[in-house]
Parts: sequence; C-alpha cells; structure tokens
Amino acid sequence: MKGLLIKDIRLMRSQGAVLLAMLILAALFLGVVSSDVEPFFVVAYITIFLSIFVASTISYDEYDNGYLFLMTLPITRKKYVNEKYIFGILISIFAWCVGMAAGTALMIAQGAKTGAGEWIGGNLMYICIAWVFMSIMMPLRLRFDSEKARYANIIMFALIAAVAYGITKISQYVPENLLRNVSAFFNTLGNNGILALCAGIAVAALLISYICSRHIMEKKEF
Amino acid sequence: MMLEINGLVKKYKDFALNCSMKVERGCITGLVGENGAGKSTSMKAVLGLISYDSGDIKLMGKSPAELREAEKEKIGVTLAESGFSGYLKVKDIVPVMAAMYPGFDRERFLNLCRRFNIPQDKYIKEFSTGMKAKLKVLVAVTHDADFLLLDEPTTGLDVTARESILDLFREYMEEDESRSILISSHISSDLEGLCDDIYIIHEGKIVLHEDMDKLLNEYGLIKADDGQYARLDKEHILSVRRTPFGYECLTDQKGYYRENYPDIVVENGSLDEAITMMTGGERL
Repeated sequence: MKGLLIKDIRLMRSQGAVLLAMLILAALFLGVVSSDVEPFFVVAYITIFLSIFVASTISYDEYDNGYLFLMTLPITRKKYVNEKYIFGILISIFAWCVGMAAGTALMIAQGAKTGAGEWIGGNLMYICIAWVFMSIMMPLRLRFDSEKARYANIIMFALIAAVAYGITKISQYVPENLLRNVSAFFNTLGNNGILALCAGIAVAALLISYICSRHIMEKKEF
Repeated sequence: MMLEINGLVKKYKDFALNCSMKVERGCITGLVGENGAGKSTSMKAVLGLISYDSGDIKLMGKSPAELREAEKEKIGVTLAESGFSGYLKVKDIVPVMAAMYPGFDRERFLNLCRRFNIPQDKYIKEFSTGMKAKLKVLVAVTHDADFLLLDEPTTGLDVTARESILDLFREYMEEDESRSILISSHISSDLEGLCDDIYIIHEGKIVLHEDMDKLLNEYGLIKADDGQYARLDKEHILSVRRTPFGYECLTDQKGYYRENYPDIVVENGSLDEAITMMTGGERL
C-alpha cells in the first residue's frame, strides 16, 4: 500500500503539478480580472478539478500495458482499490487546502466580508461534491479503458445534467404544499445540518463506489 | 518444487491453452514457442492475472488465487510488453521498490543502473527498447526473490547487453542454490547456454520437454533420401519433415543412428532444430 501511494504521489507530482499551477493561476486571474468571480468558486474549482485528476492516475497505471506488471508486484487487487480511494481522499483534502489558501487570498484582495464559519462551512461542501464526482469516476475508470471511460464519463455527466434538469422541471408540477414541507425541512436542518447531510451523501457515495470498484477489480482480466 | 502446472486449460475464442509443466528448485527452465503459442498466457495464469477454465497451478505451494504480498515479494517478474508506468523515472521507482520489497537492495540496484547506463532522471516512456528491457531485469533481480519469471527478458538487447543480462541470471542463481528461474525467449542461443531443461510450446500445447544437456548431446537431425528413409528404424524418431531432397528427422538418440546407418547424415541437434521440427514437422 505504501509503495502504491508513493507511486501515485510521484506520478501526481510530475503530472499534476502543472495542472495545479494552472488551476491556481486561472482561478486567481479570473478572480482579479473579473470581480464577479467569488472566492467560493475558486475553492470549488480547484478542489473538484484536482480530485477528478485522481481517477486519471489509473490511466497512468494503464499506460503501455502497465497494469499487467503492476499486478505482479506485492499487492493484491483489494489493496490496489483501497489505495486508490485513500489516495483520492488525501488528494481532495490537499486540493481543498490549496483552494482555501487561494480563495482566502482572493477574498482578502477583493475585500469581501464573509464570516469565518460561513467561509469554511460553505467550502467544506465542495469536498463532498468532489467525493461524489470521484465516486462516479473511479469505478468507470477501472471498468473501461481510457478511451471508453472518456465516453462513459461524458454519458454519466450528461445523465446527471439531464436528471438535474428533469428535477427542476418536475418540481414545477409538484404540489405547492409538498415543496413547502421540503423547504421547511431544509430550513430546520440549518447550515450545519445541510452540511452534515451532504457529508453523509458523499460518504455513502464513496462506500457504494468502493464496493463496485472492488467487485470490478476482482473480475478484471489482465 | 518451485512451480507445478497440471492440466492448465484456458480457452479463448480462437485459442486454447492446455499445458502442464514443472520448475524444480535450483533449476533454470526455459519455455520456447512462436508468438501466440501460449507462453505469456501460461505466465499470466501462474501469476493470477487471468482466470483459467481448469487445471491446477502451485507456485511455491500456493494457487494463484492464494498469492498474497508475502509470496509476491519472493517473485521477480519481467513481462514482454509491460513494466513500470512510462510516466515514472528510475528515481521514482527506487522508493516504490523499497516500500514494496523488504529485501530490496537499493545500492545494488543503483550500481547496476549505472553499469547498464540506465538514466535515473528520464521518463521511462522516453527509454529505448533496450533500456526498458534492462531496467525490467534489474528490478526483478534486486529484491531477493526466490523465483524469477521472465517473459522475453532479452528482447531488444544487443549481443553484449544480452550476455551481461544472462550473466546476471547466472549470478542470481549462484547466490542461492534453492532459487529457480522460468524464462521464455525467442533467442535459442540464450536458452541453450542458460537453461537446465526446456519446454517447447506449440499452439497451446507442450510438444517437448527435455534436459538441455540431453538435447544438445543426444538429439540429432537425420537427413535421408526417400530410400534411406524407407529403411530407417522409426523407433527413436520424434518428428519428420518432408524436404525437396527427402526427409529430415529429429531423433533423441543420434548415436544409435550414427552407429547403425553410417551412410546417412546425422547432424548434431540444437534447440533451433528441435523447435523447427517439433512445431513444423509431423510428430511420430
């Protein structure tokens, strides 16, 4: 496990460093040039993009039939999946910290007045979103090779967009009192409650995704 | 016994592997056959990289499904078409190896890299074929493995580099008598000078298993015209091939034919002849 983590960190260090630098620069540039860009956006942008990049370390493993050799090293299929998720969670936390640093710098530069609680709490939500994205991409990436996974990703995101659009459309036809009840429910939860709910959803997504990935990896032929 | 494969069957749409073989402790066993004969498939099955339909495989007493970290630490592998990710450099591999293999000898690995001119600060994807091949071997021999499983380890190497790599395998065996190697190669001369015994695989089946010494000393190629072939005792003929001038026959007792048929040409056997005859000739 330690060996795999070192491998992925080394891969990420060489390949991800450029991406990270670009993300930070682009985010700050957007923030300074267009004052419309919220510091929140900067955090979300960096956290989510870098977390998505985690799944692409699977492509680096796969490059030039590399999987075959990787599986002859002293690891098991189970440990490989464990490592990918642990690495993903670590990177999302790291990306979030970098995003927070960039976002906070931008916030100070813009002179925005956001309370510390709201700033941190609001941004924690993006880790949850990053985990949900990761949960979707990881099993897809393990199941399909890089070419097919690209299509699978596009289809998946199109589906999410369609479902989200569908829900907003359907919500117009949902009885008024039901909507009121739902919104009342969220109001009673408060900010912390909503954050806890999102965290719960993200963790559940990760768990389901992990179980799927384990299953996919067990069945994989190299 | 280091490795024992009994009745391994793996079926694909257009290919079926049906193979039994053994690798004894202290021995270097060779596996030869043309591309697509089943060498890599057998090795993948041994390592648990693919499932198989039936048969029994025991590697250091464990089936492929039972291989855990502890067993895999004791195996060194080179695969023909796979290695560390091309997006890594040698200096990235060193800490990975050190974390994965308790027996990894960092100093020896780095010394060998220098000896074989493997750059440390260059992406593996930018390596030449020869450099990649050398790196794979160095990775396999520097972590105190008990068993090396080498699929075409000398492919892409020039003669001098090949000899140095073969010497590394000899050194590896001399360090500990209980070690073993299973090696596949297209280059017969590599195997002739290295292996204790040899398996020839053809269309998914083992067509010959023989001690290398016996193959080189007792096998022969009989060249006979139609008349000579007709009166030839076929008892010790393994395989026959029709040629424009008559027949070529592979025998495992050239002395018998030299003694009893002084008028017939019996050439010394070689691995190349054995492969050609066992895969291209008609087996008797």
